[in-house]
Amino acid sequence: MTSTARTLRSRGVGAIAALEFRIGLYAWLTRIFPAQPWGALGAVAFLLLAGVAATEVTLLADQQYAQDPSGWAVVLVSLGRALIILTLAGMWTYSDTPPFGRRSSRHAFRQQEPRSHLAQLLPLSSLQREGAVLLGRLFVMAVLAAPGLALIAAAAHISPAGRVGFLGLSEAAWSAILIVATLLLSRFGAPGTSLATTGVLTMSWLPILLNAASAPGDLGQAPDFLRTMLLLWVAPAPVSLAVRAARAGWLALRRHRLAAASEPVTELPESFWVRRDANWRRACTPEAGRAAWARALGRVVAEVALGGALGIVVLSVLHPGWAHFVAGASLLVVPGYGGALGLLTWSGGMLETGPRWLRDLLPESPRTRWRTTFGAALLAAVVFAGLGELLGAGGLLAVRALSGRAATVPEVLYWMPPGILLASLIAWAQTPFLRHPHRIIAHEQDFWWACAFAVVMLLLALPLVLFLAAETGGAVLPCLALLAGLAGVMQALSYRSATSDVWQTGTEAGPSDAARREAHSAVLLAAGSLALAVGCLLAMLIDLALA
Amino acid sequence: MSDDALAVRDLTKAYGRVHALRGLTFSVPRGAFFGLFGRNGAGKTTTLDIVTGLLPRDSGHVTLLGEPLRLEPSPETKARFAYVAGHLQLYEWMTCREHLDFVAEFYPTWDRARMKELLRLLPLPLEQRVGTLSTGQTIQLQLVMALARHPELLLIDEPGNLDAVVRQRLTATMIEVIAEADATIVMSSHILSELDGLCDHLCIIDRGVALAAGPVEALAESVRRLRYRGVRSVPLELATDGLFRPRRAGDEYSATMVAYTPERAEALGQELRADDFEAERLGLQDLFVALTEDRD
Repeated sequence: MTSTARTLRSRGVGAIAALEFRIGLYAWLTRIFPAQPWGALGAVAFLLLAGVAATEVTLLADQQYAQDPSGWAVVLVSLGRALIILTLAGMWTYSDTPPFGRRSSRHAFRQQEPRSHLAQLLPLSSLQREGAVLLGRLFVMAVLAAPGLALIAAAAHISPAGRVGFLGLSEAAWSAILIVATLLLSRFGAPGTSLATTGVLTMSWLPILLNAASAPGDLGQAPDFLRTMLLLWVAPAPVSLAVRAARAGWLALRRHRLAAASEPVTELPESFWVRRDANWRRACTPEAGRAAWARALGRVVAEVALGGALGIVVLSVLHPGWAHFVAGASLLVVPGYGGALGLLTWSGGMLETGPRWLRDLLPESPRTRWRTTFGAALLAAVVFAGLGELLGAGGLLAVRALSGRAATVPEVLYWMPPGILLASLIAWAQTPFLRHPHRIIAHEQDFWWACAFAVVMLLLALPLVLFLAAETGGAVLPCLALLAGLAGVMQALSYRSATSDVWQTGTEAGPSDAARREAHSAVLLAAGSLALAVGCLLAMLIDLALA
Repeated sequence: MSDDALAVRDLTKAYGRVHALRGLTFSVPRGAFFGLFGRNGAGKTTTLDIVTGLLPRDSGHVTLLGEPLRLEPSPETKARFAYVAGHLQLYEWMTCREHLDFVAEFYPTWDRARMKELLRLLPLPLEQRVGTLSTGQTIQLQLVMALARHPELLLIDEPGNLDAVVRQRLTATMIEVIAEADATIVMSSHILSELDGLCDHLCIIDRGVALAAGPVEALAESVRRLRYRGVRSVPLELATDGLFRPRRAGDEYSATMVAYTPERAEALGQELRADDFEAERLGLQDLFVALTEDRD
């Protein structure tokens, strides 16, 4: 090859990369800010929700953040995180996005890709072409993620030596990992598997948000920082959640041992994870213990609600196909949490030494109550948005898929908004969750409500799961089951952890019989869920092997 | 180096249960103006898409400009041929000028003076987006992109949407291309008049197989419409290999003979116990009808 030809070839690769960059920017813009008014409204709502919720979760995570002199750094981190989520969410839908606002079909967009006929005929090898495309996408991601990363870096700069500094560093690393993963998935993900994989990956940032809420101090301490990074950022969401749950179980076990080895617990050792909780330290009586337990319970509600709401809002607004996936996953996982809450409610009500209703245990702090309310509202939004979608579009598409007629994802786009609106209105008008969100787990009968709710949700999710299975050749089915199974493990272990909180604040004789029974039930539930998860994993592996 | 610019052997391709190509075989000599003629659905576009690497084949062998084709042609080979087709996906949101500039980046042989000349012959709204162009204009744009880089092999699929003036200019340009650089042109069409008088080699394909291929003159020589007079009987065991469209009317018998030789025609006459016969030379259109009619 002559030097002129080589130069031209290099310029050609640059041209493909520039082309990809241009297409990517347009794709992102049209996806994040679609032409339709409702889409733009949804995008704005998402921005607000993402920023507010991310900040709220951070504050919820650790009250020290709120007391941190570098409070602005926390805000910067939260906003930066929201921007990065926005970037990634837009780019995850990249390969299915028509540029320039055209929504004719996914096929139409593929025509615009550098893998189009014209590009295939250009004098480049497939390796050069793919490399150029990756380069272009990397530029897109870098440009889009830069503002968010800059905000996080600024936060780290404001508080370089404090917890926020670590938070900034960890956020930057997390973002980089997700950017690269997204980049590779957007390029090489096969149609069926990429939907499932990106769905799992999408949910992987939820535990990042939740992690802060679950174990205050984790992000601020170097060993935990490394462990968290390894376990939560690299592993997909279910694994992360399971690890978190295991850790909670370990802490609970430690507390139980301490409680068993000591005299009646009237004062908690400093090593407890709740040591920063002023209320707990101030009055460590059984009643205070139950109050702390209830607060932890409220936190579970809030974090699940926030995470789920963010997921569904982001993905529903941004991509109809993902809306299906996330709605399906949410509808499988959220009822699981509903069941967990029901069990906890029930156990709370049945505890011999405890008050009858958990309503009495709800925290009195207006701030915590507001957070719980916020979380409950979002939880309801998640559920009813998914419900609306299922009724509006998912059911229709499922029927079409099952009847053998081709189902087109863009149709969902036009069915979803009215479905969500209608369902939200119904929810707002009729559900006690939104009317009295602080009473979400207020009564024993709520357990039965939760059970009924879970059954209904699962029934509603069924056509969606079948639709997804039809769309993805069955690959997504074990994934969803795996998510549900691992969520079951997590909820069981969380339940045990919460129960253990009560043990150590129980009577002098230790845990009550009822609490022991509940603990055994929890272990059985965990074992069952784990078996389910393993079974699903095997099914998934077999499915992959057969594919 | 092979004398063929393109050689296709036993090529097969199926779209699900639809078999588009069923062992297609033909070769294109260097410097030829080769016509690939067949009805809609005959497999012309599939063949060209496979040859250019846009479509994977099921089986068979393709040699493009001396290089055996694997998944797609090497960059070096790609730089030596050009493909123009109405169904090719361009970047619809680019303007014509952007498209030309984009493509020019890739070819060392890109000739800007030639491009300007071509744009004079095939005028295009340079600032207009490609997505808003008519089909004919899109093909014109592709032609400019193809010819501005002096390809050794030019493949054109169904240029039927060009208006008469542009088509005339295109024809003149292609003849000029062949004359200037001894390039090879392969043009597919389902309109025989587009190829008649232009191409010197022809391949007639139908339902994925080549019915006849070779130099046009030889093809015309090898196929005759025979008319026998004074036929006394048509034996049941009459050998009909290579005979198409047999007709009998009174004491006359007519048929189209492929691979015609006077000796074969004479032998047939003896079997029919005919008084005499005449062999009429066919045009390409008649040739095509004769070859395909009995397959329907």
